Amino acid sequence: MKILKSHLEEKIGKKKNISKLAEQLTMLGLEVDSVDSLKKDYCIDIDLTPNRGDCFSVLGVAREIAADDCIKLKKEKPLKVNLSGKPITNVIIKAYDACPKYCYSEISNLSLKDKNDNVKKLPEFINYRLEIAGINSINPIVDILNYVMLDIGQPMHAFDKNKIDGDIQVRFAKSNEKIILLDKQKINTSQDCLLISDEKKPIALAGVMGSYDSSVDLETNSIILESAFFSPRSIRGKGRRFGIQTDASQRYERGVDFELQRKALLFAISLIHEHIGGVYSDIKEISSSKSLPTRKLINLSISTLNNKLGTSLSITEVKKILTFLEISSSSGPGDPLVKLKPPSHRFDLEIEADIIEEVARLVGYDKLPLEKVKTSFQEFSKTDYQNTLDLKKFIASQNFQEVINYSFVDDRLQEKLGLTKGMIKIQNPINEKLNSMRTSLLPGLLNNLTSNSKRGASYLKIFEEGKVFSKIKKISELNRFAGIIYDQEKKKGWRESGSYNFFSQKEFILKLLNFSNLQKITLKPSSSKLLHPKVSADIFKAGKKIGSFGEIHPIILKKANLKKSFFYFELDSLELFNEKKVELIEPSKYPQVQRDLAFTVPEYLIFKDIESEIIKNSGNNLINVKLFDLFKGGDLPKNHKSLAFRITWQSKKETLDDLYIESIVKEIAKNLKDNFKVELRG
Amino acid sequence: MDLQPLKKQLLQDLKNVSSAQGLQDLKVKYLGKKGEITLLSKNLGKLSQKERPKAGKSINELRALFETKSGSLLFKIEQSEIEESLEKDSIDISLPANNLQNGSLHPITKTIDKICEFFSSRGYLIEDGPEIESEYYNFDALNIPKDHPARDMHDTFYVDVETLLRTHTSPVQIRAINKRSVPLKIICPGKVYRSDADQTHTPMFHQVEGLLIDEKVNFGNLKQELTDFLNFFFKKNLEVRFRPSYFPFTEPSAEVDIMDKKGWLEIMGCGMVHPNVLKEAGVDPNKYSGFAFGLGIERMAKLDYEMDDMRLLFENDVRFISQS
Repeated sequence: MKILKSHLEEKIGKKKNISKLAEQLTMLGLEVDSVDSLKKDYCIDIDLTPNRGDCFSVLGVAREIAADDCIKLKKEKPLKVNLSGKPITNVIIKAYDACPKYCYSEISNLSLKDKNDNVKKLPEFINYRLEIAGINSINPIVDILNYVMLDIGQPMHAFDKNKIDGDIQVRFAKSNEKIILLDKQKINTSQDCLLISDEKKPIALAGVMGSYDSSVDLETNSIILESAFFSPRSIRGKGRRFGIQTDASQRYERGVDFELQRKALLFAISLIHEHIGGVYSDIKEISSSKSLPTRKLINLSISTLNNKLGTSLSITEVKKILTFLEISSSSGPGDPLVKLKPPSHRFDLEIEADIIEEVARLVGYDKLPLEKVKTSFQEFSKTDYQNTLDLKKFIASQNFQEVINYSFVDDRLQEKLGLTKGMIKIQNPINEKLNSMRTSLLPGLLNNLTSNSKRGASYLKIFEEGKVFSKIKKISELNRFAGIIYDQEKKKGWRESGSYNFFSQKEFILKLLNFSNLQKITLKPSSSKLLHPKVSADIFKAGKKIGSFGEIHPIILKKANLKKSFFYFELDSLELFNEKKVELIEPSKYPQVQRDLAFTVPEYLIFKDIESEIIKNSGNNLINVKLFDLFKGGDLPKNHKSLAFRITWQSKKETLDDLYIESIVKEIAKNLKDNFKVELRG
Repeated sequence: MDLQPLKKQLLQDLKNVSSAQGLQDLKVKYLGKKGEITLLSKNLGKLSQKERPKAGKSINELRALFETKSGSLLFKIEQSEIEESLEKDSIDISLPANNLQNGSLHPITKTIDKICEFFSSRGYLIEDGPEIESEYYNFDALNIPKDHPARDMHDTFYVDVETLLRTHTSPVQIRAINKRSVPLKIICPGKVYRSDADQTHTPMFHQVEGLLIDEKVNFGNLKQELTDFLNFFFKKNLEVRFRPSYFPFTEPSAEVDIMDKKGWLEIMGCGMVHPNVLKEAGVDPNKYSGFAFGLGIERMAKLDYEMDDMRLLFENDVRFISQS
């Protein structure tokens, strides 16, 4: 809300230093967004919080300053206009809960133009104040009503009496009732919309905007002036539903002083009388006192207040503050509780905590003492956050750069990649490229790869940790780790060449799993549609798939418009957080024995089967089995390969003798031959 | 027996020797089976009983002299031999190391960690919560009923009628109380979503929510805790200001500003937990009180790293994010 410093000073009744005033407002909770220096004045832009509807006027802001300065605002001057005769139009309220009070008056013999057919002018100060507030000038009547709203906070409306058929009703809409608003927007109301209507048609969406057909124009000669109290609940959300936010609706939905209507009407009439003319009917007020808001008594305990604020204020000090805020108080002598009643303009004071905030505000937040926290002991436990961070640090230490992508991606990209299972769409996306929740971290990482390689990167190791989302019956959110290894550098450096391959990635993945205390895992050829079926693996932990890694599927590459291949991994975060009970075992003092054994193995057999068979037959003293050579061709039979193993044994109790080792080697050779037709070489 | 000539010769020999082999030859010459000192010892028996002890002593002294001198000489010779061999190992240490591609954490992760580090050290547990939330947890349970004007402050992304992308990390307050009961100290870093995009807004951003509930918690505690935190984060004694504000789920509510080069800068929102929120979470507001706070990570990162455009944080240009 933008107001002039001079306007505010007129209300307070004294001059203020601009920077002190801005600081004072901000420290009262009326945050000053900016102060613009004008020729002879200042424009103060206040960022009002939604709870302070009472400050949505110059009067409201002045009230705050006055309370803070411990002064009382002067009373407004009484009106000097003749009002006579009842209004001709009747108003019937059919929804008192939504409209507990409706004040109106009729003005006839009006002319918005002077003898020379020029539109009558309002005084410069009114025009200027409205202009500063950002309120457009429409015609003298509407401008006066807007000025009253800016000045004291009561939204008002004028209907052209000649455009109205018969009596007026305040009622909820019938289903699908249509109305063309002042801005010529045609809306379809629903039964929770409060309307003002005449005997034939709706003439206003109550508290939001009047209809085009009933509006005042320059030819208007008689009007009905409305000054009503609509309950915040009945107005809230209506403007937003139709995409309209008016100065009136913003005030009504926050709460307008329900004792202001008659006063506002008189103020408007006096301004119209002074600057436009006309003949005035009496003010008619229709209201239901039982539907008007009530200000419930709030019990305040001074000791609670002091405990919550860390202060030691006396009951007298507190009462003084509250009095200037127009909160009336009563308490007997020695009574621990003060009974408080907020004024009609305050819609935000309902419970003790609200009053405590008022006292804190007026004392000044900066004056409240600081105090060290003394809290109960809370047991420490390592949460997913720490585990995730540890793992992120590990992956970064393996030369990966962490990235963070939006959780929403283009649904067309997810479709292309075949990632639409359970895909959740956003109903109101910010744009089409961010319209669906990611079901995998791949789309984001792919975008990163594309943009970075466009910038010339020929080497990229990036990873991300974050949630993927899906809805299959119900919504699920799973935390994942995923990463891309893109290495197109032909020569790594002056000493090393050779590009990244599946086994480089396997080494990294196994290190990562080891870091995660996951040693007992199984790798199987991957079933992931994202990965190259022959150069990828799924990782299983106790029979449950926890992730995959390998070369990206050439089809994915093509769909992503990428020419050069890369490696990808995606793992379930939660499966990576494992506690390990460690027992430190003293190493054996006896010597190790090693044997190197090479086998001729048919091509179709996999390493793992041969290794398992060796382990199975190597006895209790086996330390490890290591593959140290693999080759094809040479003097090997066709479709065969040679696998050479270094096997190490060691006993905890004795030095192993050659005879024992020889017998084991024989057993290994025999079983490999019998079960796999694998021959020991040499 | 006069050993002086022999001693003089021995010292001269040691002076002339320059290799380990030469030293070995000298050892043979003096202490070998037929060495000069050995022969003297063997001939001791030929001397009279009176002369023998004195001569024996002199011979032993001469032997000891040789051994000491040759020992330290050997050490010197070996040392210079090693030094000569070092030269042969010489390399150009200015040649580059292989594969110098560094990995690092995203600036947002680092900023979150810096914040969590402070609160962890004060005993806060680090919590997590869903990013797709129900209207109940995101709004209703936080004292923001339907059509409340405060909902206008959140440009909400909806997934369906009652389900949305959380607009703040505050829903975790209720979830944490339900999960852990009071007293309680938690913080929750995480992603939040609002339909807003310009230089200072991205449709996804990060917040850290903090909540402390115990008996006798007051506003002064909140001021102290957050002042300490801001001084830790910015590593200096900051001028910190608390001013009244409005959040439906705290009462009293405050904004925290810090004094920056250009004046006061809004840094975070906070307040005493609203009694309605405590009640909704099943906590007795007469027995317990607490404070809550929330801060935007991007804003903290922006200040900490002195950067301008928030959107760069999510473009993931490796040249940009790898600097942190």
